[in-house]
Amino acid sequence: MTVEASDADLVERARGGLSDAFRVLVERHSRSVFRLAYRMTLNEFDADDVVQETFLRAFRSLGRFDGRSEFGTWVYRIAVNCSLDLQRARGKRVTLSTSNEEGDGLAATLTTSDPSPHRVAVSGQVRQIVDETLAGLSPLERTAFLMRHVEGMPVHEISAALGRNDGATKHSIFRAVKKLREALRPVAGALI
Amino acid sequence: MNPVEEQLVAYYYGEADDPAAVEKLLAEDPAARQLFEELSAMLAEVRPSEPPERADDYAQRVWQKVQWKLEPQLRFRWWEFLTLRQVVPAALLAAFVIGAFLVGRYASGPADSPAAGISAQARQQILLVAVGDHLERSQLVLIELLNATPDGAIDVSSERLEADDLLTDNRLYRTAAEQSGNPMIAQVLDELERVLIELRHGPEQLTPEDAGRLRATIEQQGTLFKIRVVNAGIQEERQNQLRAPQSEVF
Repeated sequence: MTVEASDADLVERARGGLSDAFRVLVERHSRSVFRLAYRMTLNEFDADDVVQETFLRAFRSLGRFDGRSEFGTWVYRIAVNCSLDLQRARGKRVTLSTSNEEGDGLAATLTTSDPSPHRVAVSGQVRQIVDETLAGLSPLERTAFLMRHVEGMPVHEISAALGRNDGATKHSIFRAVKKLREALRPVAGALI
Repeated sequence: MNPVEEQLVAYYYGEADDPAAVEKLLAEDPAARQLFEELSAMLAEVRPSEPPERADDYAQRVWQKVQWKLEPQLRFRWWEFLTLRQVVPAALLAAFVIGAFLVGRYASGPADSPAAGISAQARQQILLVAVGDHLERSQLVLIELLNATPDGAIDVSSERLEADDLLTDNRLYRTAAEQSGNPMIAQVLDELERVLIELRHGPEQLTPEDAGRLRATIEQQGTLFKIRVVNAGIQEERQNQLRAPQSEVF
């Protein structure tokens, strides 16, 4: 039976120039980094670019990784910075790509336990509102909210990944919830 | 959002600083209870779907792209490693293969061979091309094997023929490397040779299990990467040679 090498072991080996060790790290974390990058950029191609840039920066910075946090958290933090850099470089606000009519991408969906015509209509309305609201949040608000709400990550881990303190992270989540609540107020009656 | 709402949102996510206090509030305050029900209903409906799916080999593709961009840096580190461990100047790394080729191909050749009339530097140019070609061809064979996606038996007949052809030169370079005191390089060629031998003496139709074993050998040894490093050194040396004035070449 082979024992899978820990991230910490692989980092040590990668520091010695062993590319196979870094390859395992890249392969182990690339999907989760993509998810995070997509949450931040709302664009899959940008997210792919962020994933690449993240691991390039990670490799070049391995010497500065002190091991106090998990490698995954450290890479998340790099990915957050890469995403922000990308958006700053482009100097544009994130816009949600809604190319998929069937609701893929970052489309919110309602449960279909009651698929009455009225419910379906409300569902579509809520989806559109949620899409627009999430796209209008700052990348940090959106990411903090989605990491908590969708990924179920605890606040302290989100804070470590975003490089912020817990209070600031909680505040981002609260702001996101507040904006969603305000945006969904017109259909609030149909949600209960 | 007021402090009560913030507490309720934190409680909803299991992140309240004082959950008991929130529960007491909900038990005693109908307005807070009503607000919590509204928040819970709203958040339960916000269900973003997953980010777009990536291909099964997404992680491997990411690594390939990252490796490609990191290659100069990795190459430096590897040379640095050699320098530290073996006190071999990095610039001599590529020269080893040239020397190996010279030892194997020309040292015992007749004095009036075509090579005799060519300067050492010109021969180096020719040999750099030849050795670089050997490594390029070896890389292609390994990449073909690594990228084969087995749905059943894999036809490797063309790779077997190529391996057979490559083996002769590879043995020559490896022997020369050993004799010229370059054990690290000899090891890389030795690893390549084992793969080539395994491929050459294997069946033309590999089962998925056979192919998996062969791929595992290549990946575990890092053979492809090591070949690329050596080849990159050779290409650099070629560029340096090409920059030299023409009169010095011939």
